[in-house]
Amino acid sequence: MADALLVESLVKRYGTVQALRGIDLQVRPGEIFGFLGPNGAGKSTTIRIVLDLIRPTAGRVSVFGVDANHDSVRARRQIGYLQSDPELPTGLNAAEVFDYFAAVRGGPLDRAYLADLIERLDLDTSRNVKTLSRGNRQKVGLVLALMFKPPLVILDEPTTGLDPLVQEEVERILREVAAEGRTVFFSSHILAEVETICSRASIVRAGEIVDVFDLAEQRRLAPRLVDVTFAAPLPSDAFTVLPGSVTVTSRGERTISFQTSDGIDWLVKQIAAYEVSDLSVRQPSLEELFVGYYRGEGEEDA
Amino acid sequence: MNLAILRRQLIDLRWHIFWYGIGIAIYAAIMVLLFPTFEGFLADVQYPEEFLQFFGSVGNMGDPRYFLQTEYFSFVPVILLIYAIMGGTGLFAGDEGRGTLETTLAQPISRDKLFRSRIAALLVGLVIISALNSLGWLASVPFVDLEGLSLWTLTWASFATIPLVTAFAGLSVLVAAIAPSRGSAGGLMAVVAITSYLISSFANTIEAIRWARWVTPYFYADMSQVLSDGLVWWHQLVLVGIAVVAFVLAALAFRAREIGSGTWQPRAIARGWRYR
Repeated sequence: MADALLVESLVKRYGTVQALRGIDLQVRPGEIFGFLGPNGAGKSTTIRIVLDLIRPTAGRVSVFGVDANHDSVRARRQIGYLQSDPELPTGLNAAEVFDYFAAVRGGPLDRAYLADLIERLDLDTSRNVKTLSRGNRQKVGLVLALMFKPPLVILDEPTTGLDPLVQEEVERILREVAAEGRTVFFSSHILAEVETICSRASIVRAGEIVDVFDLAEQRRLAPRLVDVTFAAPLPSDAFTVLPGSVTVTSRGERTISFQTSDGIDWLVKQIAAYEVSDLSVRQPSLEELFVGYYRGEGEEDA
Repeated sequence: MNLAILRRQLIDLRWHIFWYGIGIAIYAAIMVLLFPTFEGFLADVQYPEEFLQFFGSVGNMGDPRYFLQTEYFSFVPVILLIYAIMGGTGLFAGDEGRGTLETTLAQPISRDKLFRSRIAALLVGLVIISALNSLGWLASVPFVDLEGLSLWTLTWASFATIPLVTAFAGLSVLVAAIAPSRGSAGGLMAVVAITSYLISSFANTIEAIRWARWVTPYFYADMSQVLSDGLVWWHQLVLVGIAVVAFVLAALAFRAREIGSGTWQPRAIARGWRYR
């Protein structure tokens, strides 16, 4: 089966500004793929090329094997899209917006699924979209992206403006979408939400992909952070000789923090030699792991 | 053609269409109803020939044909050009500026189909305005002796503005397709329309620049002779030709337009051949 989304050597220049510098992405059918990066890194530019709103300077994009720029209508028939801060036709309420786009798009519409989405997102469809808050417009945009049950759902900063309960519901809906074998391409600058929901993710910075990783694998391989508080001050020579897999990240009179990849057994045995008053073992968040990617120079507006 | 888009566009334009139509209908009715008041007076007045030439209508102002050509048909196209320019530049550029064009184009609909549907709505709106204009004649002509000038002739003449207004609508859509925003497109088209009107008017009066009227669309509209001498068929063909060429170039530019980039994109016209 063809990739849900395949981006090859994508370059986009605006005059002298290079917004994308050769982006490569491969999104498999049925996965929730995170597209991470700071604002201005090139996420929206990439998505806008996928939707054929702008054209690449070089490179190629295909959606389920269909060229997104030269056969764009066929490619977009596979896509449901939520833009960052969605703008909707004025003078209509949400129900009319859904009906209008159903008529524009043509083809079948599962009314029961639409009603279910509206109910789960607690959306009032009777109000004019012009009067809606940012969060409620976001809900309308989300329903619009999902209501046609497209094989590929592209979401650009989908949870912006949503309250935490609705964010959780959106996450549940997206997991259901993936469970049905459909694909979610989830663009965000918030590492925590990508960590929660995505199976794989890539990080884009300054128009380049700097890493692509499997989040489950990443969690498995991630080092453990061990924070210990002892009942009495530690001797000065305690934990001065360590194996290569263990490092001390901070040290106080009665406290010490370690980072270890596969030295947890050794560490527990060494700690047990002293009276412990508190102990925590945790995995670093994605943010802690990848925050380095976010610190960089030469980022361009895109 | 996508009927949902056409219908939506007409609904968006409905108040523009209604008020323009009613406005020029009231203007038409007032001019007809005022004619008997001025008829005797105007028949005796000798206007300077240059004054009449400026409005393009040289004849006895006591004759309802020349009166309405000078007082009504010379001005109505200018009023309708505001509809053409506002509608033409707003058709896509306004939508793009608000961000709603992105929402529409994310759907599986070709840019060509979207273009055709919205252009059709703009032109249907123009026909409706002309039809509403006829209400003005209907409300006034039966009550005034227009010396044989019939309701039918005036109604037909109202629709005769369509080629000129369509040409300007085409130019407006074309400029908006390559301009960075609706504001810059509208501003540029306003300059074109006003300059064109002034050139056309002064070229009628000043012998040295008489040739210049040939380059302005107003000259081909024949509004200053629509009742007295009728339309010159090839003049109307020129206007239709301008409209067709402008719409075709605009369609090409819109195909290749980089949505939301906010820059001048004149090369989009040439690139349009590559996309469908």
